[in-house]
Amino acid sequence: MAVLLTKDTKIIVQGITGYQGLYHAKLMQEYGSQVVGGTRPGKGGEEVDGFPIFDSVGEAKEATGATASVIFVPARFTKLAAYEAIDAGMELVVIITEGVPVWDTMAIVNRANKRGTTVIGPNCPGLMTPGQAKIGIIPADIVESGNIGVVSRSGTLTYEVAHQLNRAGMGISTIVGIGGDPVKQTNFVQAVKLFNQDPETKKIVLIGEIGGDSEERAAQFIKENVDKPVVAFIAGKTAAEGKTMGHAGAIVRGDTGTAAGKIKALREAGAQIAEKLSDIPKFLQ
Amino acid sequence: MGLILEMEGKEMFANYNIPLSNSKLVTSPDEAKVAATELGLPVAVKAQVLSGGRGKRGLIKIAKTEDDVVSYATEILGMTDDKSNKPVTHLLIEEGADIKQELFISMVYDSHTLETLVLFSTEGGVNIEELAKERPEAIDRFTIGFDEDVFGYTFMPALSKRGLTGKPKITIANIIATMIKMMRQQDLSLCEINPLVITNDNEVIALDSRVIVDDDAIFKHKEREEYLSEELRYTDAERKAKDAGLSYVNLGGEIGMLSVGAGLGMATADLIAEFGGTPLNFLDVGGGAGEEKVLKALEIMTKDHGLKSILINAFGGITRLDQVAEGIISAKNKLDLQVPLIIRLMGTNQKEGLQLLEEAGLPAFEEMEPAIEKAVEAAKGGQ
Repeated sequence: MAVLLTKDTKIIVQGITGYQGLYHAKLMQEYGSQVVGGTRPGKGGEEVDGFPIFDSVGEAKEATGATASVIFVPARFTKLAAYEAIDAGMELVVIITEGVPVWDTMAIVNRANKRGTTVIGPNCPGLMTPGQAKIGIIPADIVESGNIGVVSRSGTLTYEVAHQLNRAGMGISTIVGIGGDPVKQTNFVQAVKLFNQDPETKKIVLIGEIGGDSEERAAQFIKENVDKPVVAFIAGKTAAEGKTMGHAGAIVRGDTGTAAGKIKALREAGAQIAEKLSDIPKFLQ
Repeated sequence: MGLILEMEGKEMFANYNIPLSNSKLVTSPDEAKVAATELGLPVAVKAQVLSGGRGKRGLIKIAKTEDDVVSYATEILGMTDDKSNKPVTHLLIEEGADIKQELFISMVYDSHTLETLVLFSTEGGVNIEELAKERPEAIDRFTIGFDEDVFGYTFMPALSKRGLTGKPKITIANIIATMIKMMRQQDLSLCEINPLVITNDNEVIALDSRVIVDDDAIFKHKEREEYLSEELRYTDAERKAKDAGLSYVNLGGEIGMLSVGAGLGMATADLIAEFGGTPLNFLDVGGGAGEEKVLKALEIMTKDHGLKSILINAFGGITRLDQVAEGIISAKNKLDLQVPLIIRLMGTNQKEGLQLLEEAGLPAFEEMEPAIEKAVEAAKGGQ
């Protein structure tokens, strides 16, 4: 068991003829994911590197039985691509694309909420269930299968944490990279909830950063619902106020969204706080 | 996300028929005088800068005579905006208003519920955050669902309860509905008027604008590429970085920091502080960065002031570390690096990257903490 993604999940790649789309379709397949095809309007019926291409997600779903889609199209087309996946009845839509306008993301989330679709991202590295499958761009060789659930707003920090766990001989059930944008459907609360329900996940690692109040909301959820041990790390303790540190979501506004506030909330919820990334494994022993 | 200037926000307001005073944009005291004559005295002389609190800082003045206009314009054009650290270049000369009442409208979206949250008060012109703390009952709050259609009538009952009547009430209710439409159509994360005034003639006028636009939505709003606020928002180093597709923030310290990935960059800055150092900057080259981008990033960093040591922290996911290494090597060859260079490489094509660096005489770490410690020591003068 794992959350959201297993070796049986059938995946289509939206934007499979693009450089990133094709490159990662191949890497996902090599890792063991069932990539059953991709879409590119106007190229339906053709193939690219053995992957069948469809004009639309609906046609791809009908032909392949895919239940998940991963979006690699440019930001200006992302809203429509996500709508297409949601309307076609995909259960899981993972949006890798960076730079999607916030109001476009809100429209995507609004539509997904109505249809019951799970959306991960945008601006995220995707999901990985070690030993089974990955959907997105998380590097393949960083981690073994195990019982620790990892949820993170940052791609590279996720890799760093996975590396630290690997070094300590620990394995991961699923990595959920929720992405760095301020608006998203699957946030810390939703991911922690999934890990809490997953019998294979025994411990949870939460990698947060400054800006927004998602970590504070997760803390509230953990306090009320979670008995599994949670270890948290918050990046951005030295951030300049009001300046974006690479992620649109990482804007410190007034008192809310500071690292200190997030750490306090998580600590009060019973989470262990790792001051340094390298401290994380020691709290999981 | 970026704040735009008052005049840019007002241009947007004008397109949505939100009532404004007559005004002219000028860049010299002479132009200011001509503008004031055309508009009729008194006028407000308003610096077009991105920071708030302009009144308190002498960046807005009311001129009653032509001499006042010239002397205030000269004075303000000689000032530097302490927030952006850039000289004031543009003034808005605005017709004076005969104010009976000042109001406040502000709205943002809620990133969790997707609703638009509207704050309204008939006690505008003041520090609204203080008002919210001291007398929260003076502020009305409206929550508008993502799909909800709103019209002026939605807000009229609440405005009536606040004592507004007649034409001003209807105009203001329509302005609130219009601003909600603007949020959605113009990709805004903040839309605010403070003060919105009612004059003695019962005219309603937006005297200021405070608007934050979404930089990612610029492809839908091409006119914003030409905005002066685009120029004012960044320091020179930040601007060059942005043009090169990099994210650069000056943090005022000593250790030049280059990271692959924003989260890793933040964690690196935190560890620098933990080890007793200070980061000069935050610089994220982003996933998938190649040789050119790394070279450009180092070029920008080495031109910033205060650099004592350079720390490169790369965890290769999509990014190939052999390409990062090549960027570092060409920076070493092409740039005059006067300070110690500390490198940490881990991840995709790590072996190839480390070998390239070794051949170029550049040692590298595999773990991040010892590398950061070393960079802090190096900045303090120890090698």
